[in-house]
Amino acid sequence: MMLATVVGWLNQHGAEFLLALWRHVMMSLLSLSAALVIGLFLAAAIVDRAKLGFIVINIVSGLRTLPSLAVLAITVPLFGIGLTPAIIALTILALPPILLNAHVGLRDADPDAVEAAVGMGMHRLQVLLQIRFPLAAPAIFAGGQTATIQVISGATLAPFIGGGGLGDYIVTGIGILDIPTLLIGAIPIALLALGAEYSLTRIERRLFSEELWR
Amino acid sequence: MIRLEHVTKRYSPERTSVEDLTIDIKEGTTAALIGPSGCGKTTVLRMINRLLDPTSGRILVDSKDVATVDPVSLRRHIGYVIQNIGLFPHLTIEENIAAVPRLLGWDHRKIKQRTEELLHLVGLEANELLRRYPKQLSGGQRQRIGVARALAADPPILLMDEPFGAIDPIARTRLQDEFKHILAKVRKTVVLVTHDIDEALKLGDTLAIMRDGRLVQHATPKVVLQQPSDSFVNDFIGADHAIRRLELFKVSDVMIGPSRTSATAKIEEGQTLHRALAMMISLNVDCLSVVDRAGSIIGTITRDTIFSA
Repeated sequence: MMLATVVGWLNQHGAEFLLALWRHVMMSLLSLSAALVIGLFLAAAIVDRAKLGFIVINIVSGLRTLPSLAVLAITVPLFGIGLTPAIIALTILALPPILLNAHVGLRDADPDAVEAAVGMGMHRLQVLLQIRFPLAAPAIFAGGQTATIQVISGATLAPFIGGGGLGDYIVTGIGILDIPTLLIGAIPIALLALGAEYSLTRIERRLFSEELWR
Repeated sequence: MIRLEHVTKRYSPERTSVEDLTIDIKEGTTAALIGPSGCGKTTVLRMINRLLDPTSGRILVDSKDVATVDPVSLRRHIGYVIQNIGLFPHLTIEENIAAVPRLLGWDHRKIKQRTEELLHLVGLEANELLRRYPKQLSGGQRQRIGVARALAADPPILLMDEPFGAIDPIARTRLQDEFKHILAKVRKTVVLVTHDIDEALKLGDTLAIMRDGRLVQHATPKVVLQQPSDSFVNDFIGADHAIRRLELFKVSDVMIGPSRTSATAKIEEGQTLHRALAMMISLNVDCLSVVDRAGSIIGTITRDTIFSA
């Protein structure tokens, strides 16, 4: 009976639902991309700089301990409410797993290969792009996967700062104690997270464990 | 070709790795840098291609002070082989060998030709190896690829840090022999770091013996074995150095004319005195007939000639 209500609602409000879904996905993708760019850049910048690395890694590890809702709340006084602050908050949420994984992957890339690369006359950037990054790719991918799941679930909280998305239905559903509305938000979010996890795992297997050189 | 002048490397006031070291390595020769671990030999090697910079002193390569040369272009003209080889695991053998030529911007055809040529030079005949990855090769094969990669751009200088250290003893001996053979063909100035006196004696035109960051003796193997400069060198080369020395001479170097006294046992002229002495002991004879490849007698070798060599 409840399911019939949900389906009936979706029939009437299909466009509105799709918009919320689109917004949820877009918010997640944008913040993931931003976190990837920032995280990989930072990881590359600190790979040969132990002191700077120590500082950056500690700050970012600290970020990881903040609850998602707190991160969203902190952005409000700084950036106001709406989509942009939500994306900024989600970027901060996605950064730690990406940066920490990339850092470990780049730092621990086969030291003999790195020594040989430097010794044969590769520039810093060549060592980074031709040796360290390819060797760190699995670690970086794993970080991205963790971040993806965190961002999809974290985006559920975006309505609290006016970011919209599927979380709207959950917040409203809880507010008026209307279970069908709540499910309209909760089920697609769960499916998104599960789908992302499943497909990323498939992609990872495709990319890395079937390679001849591993 | 390579000259170090009063080179000192200090990591901290208490930790001096190399102390006032002066050495001259002549073009086309192999200098074996040898000493116990921690004596600073690897530091010396890494200062030549500027992976480390000396605290004081000068290093000249091809009469140019390396401190004035861009380290990247310096390194592209110095082959470098490290103990764990350091092949790039994510690149094929072909891409590994081609690494330096690519950095130097060679065109594809030239690189391909050179890669195949090098594969043959290091004794790997099968071209299909080129498409494999380092993981798919045996330890000995990987080590050969490491040498091939270092030789790819035909650098005049080769630096090798314990290149045969990670290989089992049997394969190591074979690789050392092959490497000696390769070196004879390509004529490079080589600095070989090792802690294995046998390897140093086998491959080095000169031996540079180091202790606690200082150069104790730098001379040819024959001189080192005959006149060790002090008790440290004497201990280092081992109690049996008088016997080892015999490996450095060929029978043909010291044989005397064919004698009429019938020496029934025969030895080929290319064998070492070490081998000749071993034969005499096992056969319990005092002299051997030296034969050429065709088997005709060209001389005699006696116990006395060996002892006085």
